[in-house]
Amino acid sequence: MALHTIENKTAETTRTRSPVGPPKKSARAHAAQRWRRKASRVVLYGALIAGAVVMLFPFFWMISSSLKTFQEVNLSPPTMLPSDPQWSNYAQAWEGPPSGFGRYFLNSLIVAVLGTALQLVTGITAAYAFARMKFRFNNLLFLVVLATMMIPFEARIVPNYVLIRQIPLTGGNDLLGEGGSGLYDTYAGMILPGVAGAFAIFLLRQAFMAVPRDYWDAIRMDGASHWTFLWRVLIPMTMPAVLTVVLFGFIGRWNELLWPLIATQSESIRPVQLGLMAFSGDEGSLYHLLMAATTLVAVPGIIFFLFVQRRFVEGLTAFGVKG
Amino acid sequence: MASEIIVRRRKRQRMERLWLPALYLAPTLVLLWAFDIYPIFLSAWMSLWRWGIQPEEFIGLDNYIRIFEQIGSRPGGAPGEVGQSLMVTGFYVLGTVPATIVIAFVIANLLNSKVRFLGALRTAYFVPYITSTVAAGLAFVWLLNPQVGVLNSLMEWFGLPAQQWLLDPEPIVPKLLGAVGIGWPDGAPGFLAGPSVALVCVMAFSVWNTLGFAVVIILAGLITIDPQVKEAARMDGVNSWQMATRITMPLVSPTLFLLLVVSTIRSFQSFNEVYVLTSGGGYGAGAGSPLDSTLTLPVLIFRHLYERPSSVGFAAALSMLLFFLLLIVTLVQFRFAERRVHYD
Amino acid sequence: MSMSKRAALPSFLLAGTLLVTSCSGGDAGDPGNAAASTESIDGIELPEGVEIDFWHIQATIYGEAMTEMVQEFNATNEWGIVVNESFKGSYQELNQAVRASLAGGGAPDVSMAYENDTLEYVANDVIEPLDPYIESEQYGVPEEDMADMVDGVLARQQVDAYNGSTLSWPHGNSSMGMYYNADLFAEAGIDAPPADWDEFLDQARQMKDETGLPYSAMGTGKNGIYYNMLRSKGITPYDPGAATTEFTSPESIESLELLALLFEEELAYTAADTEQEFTNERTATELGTTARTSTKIEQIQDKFQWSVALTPQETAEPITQLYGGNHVILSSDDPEQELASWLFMRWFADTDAQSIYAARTGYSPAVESALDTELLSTNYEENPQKAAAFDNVFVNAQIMPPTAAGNAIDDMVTGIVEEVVLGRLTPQEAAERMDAEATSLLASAPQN
Repeated sequence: MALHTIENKTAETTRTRSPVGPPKKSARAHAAQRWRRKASRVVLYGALIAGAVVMLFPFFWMISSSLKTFQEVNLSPPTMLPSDPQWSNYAQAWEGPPSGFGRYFLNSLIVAVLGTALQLVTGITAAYAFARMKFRFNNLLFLVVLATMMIPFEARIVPNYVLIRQIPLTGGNDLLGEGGSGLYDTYAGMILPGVAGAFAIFLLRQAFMAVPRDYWDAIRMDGASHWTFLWRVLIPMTMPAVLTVVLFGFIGRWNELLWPLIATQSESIRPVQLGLMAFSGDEGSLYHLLMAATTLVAVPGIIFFLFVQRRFVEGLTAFGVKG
Repeated sequence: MASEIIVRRRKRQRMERLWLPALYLAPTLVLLWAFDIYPIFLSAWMSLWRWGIQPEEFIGLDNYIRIFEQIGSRPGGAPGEVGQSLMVTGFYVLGTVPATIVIAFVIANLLNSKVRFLGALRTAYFVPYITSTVAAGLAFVWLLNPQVGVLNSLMEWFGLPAQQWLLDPEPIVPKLLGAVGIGWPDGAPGFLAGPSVALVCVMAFSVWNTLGFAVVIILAGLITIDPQVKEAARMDGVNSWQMATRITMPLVSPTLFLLLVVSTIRSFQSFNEVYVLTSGGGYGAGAGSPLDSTLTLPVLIFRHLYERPSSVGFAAALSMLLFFLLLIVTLVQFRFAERRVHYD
Repeated sequence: MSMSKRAALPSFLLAGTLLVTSCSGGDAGDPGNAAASTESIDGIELPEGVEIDFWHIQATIYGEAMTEMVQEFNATNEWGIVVNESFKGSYQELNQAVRASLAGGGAPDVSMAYENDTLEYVANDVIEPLDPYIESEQYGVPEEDMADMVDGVLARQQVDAYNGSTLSWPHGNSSMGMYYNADLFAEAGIDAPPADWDEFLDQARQMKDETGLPYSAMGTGKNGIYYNMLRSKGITPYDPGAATTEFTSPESIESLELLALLFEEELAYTAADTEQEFTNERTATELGTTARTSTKIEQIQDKFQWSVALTPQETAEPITQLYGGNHVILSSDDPEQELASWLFMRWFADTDAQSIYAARTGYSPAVESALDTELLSTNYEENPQKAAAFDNVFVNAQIMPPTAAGNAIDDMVTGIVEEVVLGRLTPQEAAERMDAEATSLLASAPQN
């Protein structure tokens, strides 16, 4: 492990290069430069838009399929656009699964918001300890945290289920965790196993470590504590990383499927991804409704992303963050 | 007086060194222990058993010996199930991780410049990550349909032969060489022939699917770069290539390093992509078809866990194999790649 | 029910005790509770309002039909039993949930299961044998009702490997049939689906000559078709009891040769979704599950004439693959709970429920009397292909002999048959490899 070599290293490449005044240029050179810039703009836009089309095509396909009839969605070769858009598919998909999608959305929102908030708090404090505190076994412990990312998900399912059912004093359990159903079939049971996330800790640790030590030394002079430094200085300076954790935390929970399936039994508390399963089964799928429902389920994630990416830009200007 | 203050401060510092980190780490460590670390110990224990619904027989290291035996060849010269899945996983990781990071780095840089419709463009690149793998997989399956897919229409348009894509277990290298008239030597080792056409399709899907994730991670790093640094470099007459490799890259290296580690781990654990694209409809062909040419290690674990009798112990042993493989790869990445990372 | 493991697992708080305690469950199959007897069952006076949990894998129209049936049962059963149904995802996910619940508590009372799982469950003593319930005076199944059940469906509840016990009861069933496009048949001058495999090949060539279209689309898993060929020639592909196979028999070589020929002459081809190939008129026939009859009716509508026939047969006793799942009772130490589970299962496999299931979905009814109900007879009149699926195909369907090694053998056979149609292996080589691998898989499979 080379973890110990990394504190306080400066990127000399950038620091030693001091800015010099703009060189004077002739009018012709200016014109040529402007033209070159224009051309490179065109290439840039061309590339970005072409890439975006490739990236978006399956999404377009999803929406197009969501507006077809059962017959048309199974046509092959398929039609690009629905011959007669079936907007009613959305209403049908919304009502389709046993609890109706309104309920699934609410459940997912509860799980995603609470889960992400808890993950953020535990992630921030843990990352801070790893990035900024000197204690024995720091590197070793961090490695242990990272190692939890490497555990195959199949290995977790059964032990987590057993544990959730045996949390003492919940769901009719006694002090020893026996007798009741614990957190099985509850929101808490769905949320808890994902709260501590190695990825969030890793991402925040990297961001915290990138903040120059001078800031800490300065605030330390004023007698501020770790706690103050963390929330007043570090978090605002690493806002993009924090937002990234929030974004992926939210989407991760929103898309979770297997664990909620195992950890719940009542349709009334199940999340959206389980609602989607109502449209495909071992004996065939209702692709038109599946696509309509999938489109609806993707909307909150997209809205969330738009919000976060806007904050990215604001964060940049508001805090004037330095590298 | 002064010495007393110093002593007290030292004492406080010592307390801080012990208790403060413990306090900051406690919630995380307790939860990780209960939900992640304990299960891996349990897996290690289960891997020493023949285990079905419950433990059946303590067999020591037999499951590991079985893994070792199944690396070797089956009748007919093909590698055993485990050997095959290790090879497939290797192709998969090597084929997806570098490609994803390089493409994402380029796109993130482009998206970090001042362009119009920035929000819309960024969203476009992120949407695949939000879209459910199942729905996106269906779109890909249709694109790659051998009979009526768009890709085969394109191939025909370019005068190229139509392909079986996701149904094609043939390795890609001899196929490509064959297309330009070079024969493949019979005795050449199997891994040189490369991944199957089907696996290449799955890998392409995976890159498409995870690109948005990588782009956002890199963007978050790029945004924190002080614009003055770049401006100063530009004044110095640094061209775009130098800007990317000499200025931007070192400054976002902590982020790139994180991405490398995380993407590698995720790639080793890829299951959904394979499952959605190649498990086929109807009866018979399970995930990993055709001819096990897309059988990644997690798919093999899944197969033994649910489709083989009393193989939970064997699946646990395979899980341990995957876990330790990842641990070694990650340690190597820390040992060699993190040296190049600049923390400021 | 596996109490030893439940006691072992809360040790998560103490790493040290983990390894010690989790081995206390080491002796596989703790004795469990004594099986119920007919007398003890007859003696139970079921109180009003017993609740049971039922886990299944059914979504789409199948899920809707199931909800409807469960509601019907809850509303009408004379004991006031309340069934709480819970969808548990794909079959593997259901399996995962059941295993987790067996380790940590909260197992359902009734679950869907296939024969291979039933074998594993009974070996671990976690399910209840059903014979005492069937024979019960008060709660049993009368003789005439037993006779009413379709032969293959009844047979799969009491296969040889269960050693004379009945361990499961029907859920929903379908069978492997041969869909054919009657318009394309007419165009090629073919008047009826093939009676045997030689005719199958002749028709395939005729189809290619007359229309230029391939005769049959086959999925990526061709083991089912290959097994079907063997069984239609009077051969059972493998015998789990004796750990022997018939893969090297002349009939098997003949079948592999036919498959190789069909692909070599491009009379058949591999498609990921064979149903799509058939409904979009790119092929004249499809060998597949009759459960898809209902979706085909909706997809094809008036595009072309079609029906479903029995796969080609070469003996006097026609046979084809039987598909679908069963129900099992998971032991709960509570006789009332178990009896309520049985009463629900009995109802589910009986005339009313099966007629709803068959009318709403592509499954065929487990009992013949369902055909006489108004619901199903009307449905079959309106959808003649569904009636054809039952009359022509379903009544001839039998499952393959179940074995714990079944999935492993299927995967192996799928792979090797694929190599035959790709021309990488000769039928003879393939047959020998399949025989060698299957024999060793059967020999090493846990015996029941």
